Amino acid sequence: MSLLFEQLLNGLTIGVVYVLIAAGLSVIFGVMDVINFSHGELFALGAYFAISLAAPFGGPGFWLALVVAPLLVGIIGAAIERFTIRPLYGRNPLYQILLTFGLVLVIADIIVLLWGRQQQQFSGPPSLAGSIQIFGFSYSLYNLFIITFGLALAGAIWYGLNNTRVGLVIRAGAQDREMVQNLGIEIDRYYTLVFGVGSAIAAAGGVVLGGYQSVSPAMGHSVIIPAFVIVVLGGLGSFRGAVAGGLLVGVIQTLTRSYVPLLEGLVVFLLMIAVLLVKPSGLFGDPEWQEAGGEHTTLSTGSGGILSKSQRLRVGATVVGALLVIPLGTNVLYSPYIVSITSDILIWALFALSLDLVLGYAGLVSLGHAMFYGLGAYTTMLTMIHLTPSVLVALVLAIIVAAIIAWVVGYLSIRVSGIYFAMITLAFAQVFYNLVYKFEWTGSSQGLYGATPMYGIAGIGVAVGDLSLSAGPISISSAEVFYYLLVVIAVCSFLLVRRIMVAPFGSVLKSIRESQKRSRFVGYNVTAHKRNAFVLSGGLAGLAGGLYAISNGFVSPDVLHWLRSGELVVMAVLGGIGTLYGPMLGAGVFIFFEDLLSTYIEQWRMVLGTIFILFVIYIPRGIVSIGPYLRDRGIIDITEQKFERSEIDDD
Amino acid sequence: MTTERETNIALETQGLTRQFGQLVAVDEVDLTVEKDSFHCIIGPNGAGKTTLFNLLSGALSPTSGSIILNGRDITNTTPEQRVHYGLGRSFQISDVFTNLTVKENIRLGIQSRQYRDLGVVDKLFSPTATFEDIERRTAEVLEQTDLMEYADTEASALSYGNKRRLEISIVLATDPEVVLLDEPTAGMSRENTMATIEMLQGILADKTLVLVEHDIDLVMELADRITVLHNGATLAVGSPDEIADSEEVNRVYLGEP
Repeated sequence: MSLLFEQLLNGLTIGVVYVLIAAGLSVIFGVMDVINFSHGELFALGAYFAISLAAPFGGPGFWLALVVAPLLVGIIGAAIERFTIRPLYGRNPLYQILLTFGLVLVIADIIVLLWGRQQQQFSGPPSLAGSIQIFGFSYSLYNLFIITFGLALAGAIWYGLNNTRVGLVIRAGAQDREMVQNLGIEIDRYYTLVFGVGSAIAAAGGVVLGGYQSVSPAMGHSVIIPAFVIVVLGGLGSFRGAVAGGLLVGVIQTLTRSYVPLLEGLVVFLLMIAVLLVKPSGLFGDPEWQEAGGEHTTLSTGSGGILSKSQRLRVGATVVGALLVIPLGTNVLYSPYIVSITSDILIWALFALSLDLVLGYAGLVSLGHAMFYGLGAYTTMLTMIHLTPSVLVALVLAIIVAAIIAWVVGYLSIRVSGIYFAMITLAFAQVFYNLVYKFEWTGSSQGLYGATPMYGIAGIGVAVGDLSLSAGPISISSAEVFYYLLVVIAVCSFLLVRRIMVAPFGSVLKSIRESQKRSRFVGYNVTAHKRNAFVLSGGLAGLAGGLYAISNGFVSPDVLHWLRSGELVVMAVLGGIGTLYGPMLGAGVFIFFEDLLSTYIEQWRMVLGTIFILFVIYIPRGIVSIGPYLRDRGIIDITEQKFERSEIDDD
Repeated sequence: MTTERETNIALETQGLTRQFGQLVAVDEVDLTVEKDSFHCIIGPNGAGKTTLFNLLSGALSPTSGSIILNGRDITNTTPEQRVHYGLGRSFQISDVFTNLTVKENIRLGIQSRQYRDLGVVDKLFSPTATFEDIERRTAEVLEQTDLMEYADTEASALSYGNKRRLEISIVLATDPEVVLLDEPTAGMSRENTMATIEMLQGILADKTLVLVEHDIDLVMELADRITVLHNGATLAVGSPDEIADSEEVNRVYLGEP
């Protein structure tokens, strides 16, 4: 009994920290419709500031840190709002998600740069070091302090929201922004305030948690996903919901860890999925949020490039030609590494193509696409280890498994729209991410390896690692043979999807992208089309994952991590969604820069994140829109085929 | 004789009711729209016109009552199914497929009625240009609606009037028997209103039209038959002359004593 009670208190301790993170996240969404992925990093930043602030002062340093660290983070948060998020108001909420995702990369790398990668510790104040007797057992005084402090802070915010003029404006803004502006209130200034205060509260959570657990660079992005779950559970934009959800998730997590370890890491996501399906507005949410992010301005770049059909054909042929000759120059012009990096690019390009099917054509923002990629990778690996080494069979199974799961996920998720769809796909992906850790046969945290993939079927064929060709002076290594296979698959997939997009099915998807409502009243079943597009997309992502497994020879839970889904969306938007080739190009540019930057600087994510943030703000329609952008301003004149080749070569 | 009567009715509702909590927005409405007629539904603000329109189009489902289209009960069908049974609805001007060409806008309408008959392989892999029947019908509609010269123009680049025209033409392309129109001339000048109505009647000639309208003068000029709604219920039904003479209508709708 006292053990259960102790567990409950432990749950509350974590729950209170969740409340501090989720409260800001939720109010920020409520007031500005911004889903702030970087909120977890601001939380981590709070803990790191505390390390630096507390250390020189010994015991009392903690109290100093508890005041100063949130203030500093609050100022940083306000600056982030003012200089990066503000230019994006009024655009599709996807852009804010992307921008804050870029901020995740930047802040996480700054943390590593300043404080290093290793785990660190700082001790809480000596006055709270002991434990006290309550209800017949002794309990850590510091934990009780966290609970009291967190609840007091949440209470103070609640009081401020409900009893001050500023709070009134913020609540009114969450209800109806335009109305508040019409009343002559400059709501923009309140945005900065809300973002700053929200960041400061999260940082305070980071400080108190830092004194309880160790501090590590991963703490930001491991806490953000549960925080989203809480916000969605409680209802986007609801402060009460964030408090209730935070405590609930803290307690449930702690109790499942002790009593039902099998469900650890799963139960909160399953809970969130269930709540979204039954009551999409969350436990305390306002039903009007249901449509948040539903139909906004179209995101996709669409058609309207600057090249004529024959020019496009020529560019396409050039790209394919370049891809085909790349291996011929190895060991002569450059190292074989070029083939390996281009192989990576091709796999990511295929993955990005799959995302464009749903993101660019059906208007579905999937933040869980790593789920299908990962399923494909695991299916391929398991097939090759246990069933048959045949690459063909393994890939076909990968496509089928990913497509079936996509059908199930799509069936359940497509009824909710916009932000909710993004969140529910994220939750499903996290379920799979956590599932592979649970079982021996999925390799747990070790991953899976040790397959000998073979070309051919039913035991007849040749191992992928052995097949090399040589004809006179030209020799093609086994890696290059596989590379050619990738080129063929990527090009064929692109042509296939392009073909689908000019067929009746694709034409309906385009109509859905333009106006869901109209498409429906012209007589098309919009939901069925979205689901079918999702299944196609899932299958294609599964193929990409399968190819990755073969190419890499090893799969780990990492392939299912949400950061991978996020990076994929980044690539797609970087290239230009709704064009099919744009996201593929984006994948090429992303991987190329990642590789280039990571050779020279350790903090490449920071640079890439910054580039990406600038893109989101200034070139939201991606690389493929640069041409028309320059043409419209008369900077370039495309009458002949003098298109900037550098843009396309990377693909 | 009942069969003859039935065949003469395009759209009918029986006891159609929609409640929002305590509020009865549409209250036991029995509507009978004859084939090839121009039937108008009018009423003051809050009379339940928009709710009735949404019930007919399938955007809302009724609390009770039924809707019958050409003798077929469509009460529990989705909007997209209703299109296939021959019910079209017009939209606000912004609701064309903005970034697609005029031709593609029309083609999507034509394709819609044949879509479910296409095989899976055709749907997924045959370029739309290879469906000769659909292409031919598209060209016909473009001709018929005077939009041929804009066939390859993006809808977003059309003039206001042509956007309106395109909007109605998409409805025509779905080959409806009954077309629901929701205040198609709201906010227009008298001149534009008449031009738009003429365009409507030209394009949708020999269709049964159901117009939900606020502007009583317009209705008096156009309608074959008028249903007047008040507080969600039917107040009067009749020809324009009968409605103009009805004391009840004058009292309620025009606010006359």
